[in-house]
Amino acid sequence: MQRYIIGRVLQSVVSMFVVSMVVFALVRFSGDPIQIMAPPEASQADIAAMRAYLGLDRPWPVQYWGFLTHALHGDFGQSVRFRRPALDLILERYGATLELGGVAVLIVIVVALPVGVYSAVRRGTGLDYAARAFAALGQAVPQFWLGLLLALIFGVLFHLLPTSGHGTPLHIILPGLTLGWFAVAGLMRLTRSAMLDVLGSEYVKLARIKGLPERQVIWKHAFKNAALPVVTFAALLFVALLNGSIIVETVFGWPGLGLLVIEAVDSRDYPIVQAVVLFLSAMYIGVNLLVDILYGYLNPKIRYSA
Amino acid sequence: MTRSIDRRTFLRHTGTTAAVIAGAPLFASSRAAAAGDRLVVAVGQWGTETPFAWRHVQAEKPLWDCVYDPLIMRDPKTFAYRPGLATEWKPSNEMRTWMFKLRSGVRFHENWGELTAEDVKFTVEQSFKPDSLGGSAYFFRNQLDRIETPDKYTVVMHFKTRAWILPSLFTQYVGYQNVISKKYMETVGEQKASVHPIGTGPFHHVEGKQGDFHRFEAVPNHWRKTPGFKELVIRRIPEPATRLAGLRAGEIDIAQVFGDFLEQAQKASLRIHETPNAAQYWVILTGQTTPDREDYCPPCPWVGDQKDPKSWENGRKVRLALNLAVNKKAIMSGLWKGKGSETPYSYYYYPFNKGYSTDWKLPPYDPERAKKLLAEAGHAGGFEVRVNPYVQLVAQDGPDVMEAVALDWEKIGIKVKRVPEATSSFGPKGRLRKTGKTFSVYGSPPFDEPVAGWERVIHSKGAFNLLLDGTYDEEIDTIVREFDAERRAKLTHDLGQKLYDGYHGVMLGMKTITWALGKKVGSWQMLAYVPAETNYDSVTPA
Repeated sequence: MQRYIIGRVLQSVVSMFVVSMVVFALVRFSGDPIQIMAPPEASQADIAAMRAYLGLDRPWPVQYWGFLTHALHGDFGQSVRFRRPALDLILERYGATLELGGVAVLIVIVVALPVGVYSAVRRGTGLDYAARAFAALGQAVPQFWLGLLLALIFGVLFHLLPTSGHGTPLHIILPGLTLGWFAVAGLMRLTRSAMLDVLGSEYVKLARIKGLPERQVIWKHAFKNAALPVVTFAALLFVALLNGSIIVETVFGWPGLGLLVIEAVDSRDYPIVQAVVLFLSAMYIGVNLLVDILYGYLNPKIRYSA
Repeated sequence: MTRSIDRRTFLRHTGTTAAVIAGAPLFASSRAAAAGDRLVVAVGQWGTETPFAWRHVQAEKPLWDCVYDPLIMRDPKTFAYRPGLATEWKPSNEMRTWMFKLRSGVRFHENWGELTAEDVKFTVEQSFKPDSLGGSAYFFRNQLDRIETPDKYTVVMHFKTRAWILPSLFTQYVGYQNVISKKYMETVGEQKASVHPIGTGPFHHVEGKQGDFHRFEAVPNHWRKTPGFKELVIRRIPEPATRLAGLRAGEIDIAQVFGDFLEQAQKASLRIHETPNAAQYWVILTGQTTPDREDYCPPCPWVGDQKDPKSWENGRKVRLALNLAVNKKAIMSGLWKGKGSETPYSYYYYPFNKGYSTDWKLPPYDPERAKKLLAEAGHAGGFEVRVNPYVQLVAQDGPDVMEAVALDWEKIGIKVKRVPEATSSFGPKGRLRKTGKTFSVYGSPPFDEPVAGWERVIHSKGAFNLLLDGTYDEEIDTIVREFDAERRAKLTHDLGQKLYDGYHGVMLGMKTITWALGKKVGSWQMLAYVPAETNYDSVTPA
């Protein structure tokens, strides 16, 4: 098991290293931040001086080495645009994205699990089709459109919820719904298929023959055993939702990482883009690593075949 | 006696506690004033979000101008200079020396002391920092010799050359030099001061979160005027549809609306506030630059070879054809929803500028004549052009306007290739004259004198090429050297005429910038001709 964990950790480190190289190169291929920042009065000499001041005139390998060694010490450089440490800005915005992702996952779980279980138990009925269609709709409807529609209905027409912004529990409902509904279909389908596998198993049949109440059979015996892949998916979904919140944050003016990174990309704010991508990649790789290790513990077959 | 607790109860209590802790920030009570006293303004973008003059790119003005006072204010109706922090300013030594007398008794927010000449000197001298690239830093770095402060309220600036443009650099909107507190900056440092700016303006900064919002409170008995609202919140909402939804829901009181959103705002019975003739729109016909630049293109039909008079004249005919082919009235009614005008102009020449001529009429819509001109120039079958439908700071509807122009050009046989590219990567190409001969729509803000704009964007040594480069360098240099205002006005007029006659860009008209106002807002006296939010202190409650 120890060997298995060490192998997985090494793989994760290599993945992070590759991600850091790719993001470092991509942001530099995409343009020059100094050209964007400079006002019309600035001469080419001013621009060159500024580039030298920020160290952007050094060869890429030198810049990369500097970036890597500083990043390992938690220093991701100063935002070119805000003149503040990139990490400070990320930590300032991270909470809002975490709130949004958390609420979205909560919505996904609250909707997808019961609906998935229900669809499996009542397979082929009209309500099964309706539930699946509702979930699929969330994936089919573009998030920017859904967000605006919800703001129009609940904010403008009924004055029930704020149309944008951040600060009170009411502010999070519409962006949370918009972000969450998109992911409902995936988790619901997974729950449904896992439940269908389990419902046909011998121990569920035995539980029914024993005369246990149907509710107990479904939730205590069937669902508990079907939950493992669902929990794994939900964990990864949380990270995926954090990554995918850019559109929702833009539509609702939600001051999270998504909005920060989209603006950083637009203004070629290298330190911010690098730090956010690395931060989110680290989360993704970290959660995957955790899941892999958990699976290794739970299923020895995986450990031995690795 | 120890009370036992079962697993289920423990989990329930733990869950509840966790939820309360996690949700506490969400329920945190706001220190905000009552909604009736609060003015909420939503803006699409606020640039680099720095409050400092030496880092400004002008897009920050709608956010921070309320915290500061300029040395020179402007008459909101005429755009003329008015005393600000400086009660008088005058040049000597052939405009190489400028003296400013400061208003006494003006205090910085939060008890950071009285504004003195040392604060003005300190602010201007920040331009010498190696990483100061914004505002007028370039000008001061290259032209300023030294600053003297003979007494508490007198600032004397000595320049290496004649600096007739200097007052403009200290004015409201066009200038960048918002005066900061030396004592505050030296005490807390630039980084801290940038997130909590201290100025002398009609609003003082209370709190904010970069990229999200900033909250300000009115300064009672401010020397300019006590603002009509006790509190001002400026929120950044990049999506125009969301801004409109906020206005309709009553969460936002002021937000810029344009195009379809303007129409929707009108349908929703929101009051529309206007700044007429605030932005001159034209299509930049790239390629008209100097031979040392990559965009230089004498074979391009709309450019021509300056050494060959026939080719040069044919280039002019093609440019006139490109002007005549565009239905400007359709753009004004269809896209600008009637909020545009055919007010005559030459590039960067506004009606308030000296030497302005009403003869500079917008070329009429005449596709037949356009076709004839193309044939005369040897391009009867048309030619291919590249256009980039992108959003520009003032021309936020750039993509729609570019498409309208492209459709009109296609009607006279020009093949238009759309090459969409984001502002962030296309803008720098304009600076380097490496656009690949790609046209785009530009919206120009006003300058005190057109030559201030020409020097930056029409001169071969200017930062950008937003019309043409090189051809009029000598004329521009002559105007800049001329410090007699009347003679300068005459020279400026003459160049304005040449630019107009050359049809170097496709003139689309002057756009009125529009804002929708919520029910709380009574009146709002903005600066004339300025395409951005100004003078929040003048907003009165309904």
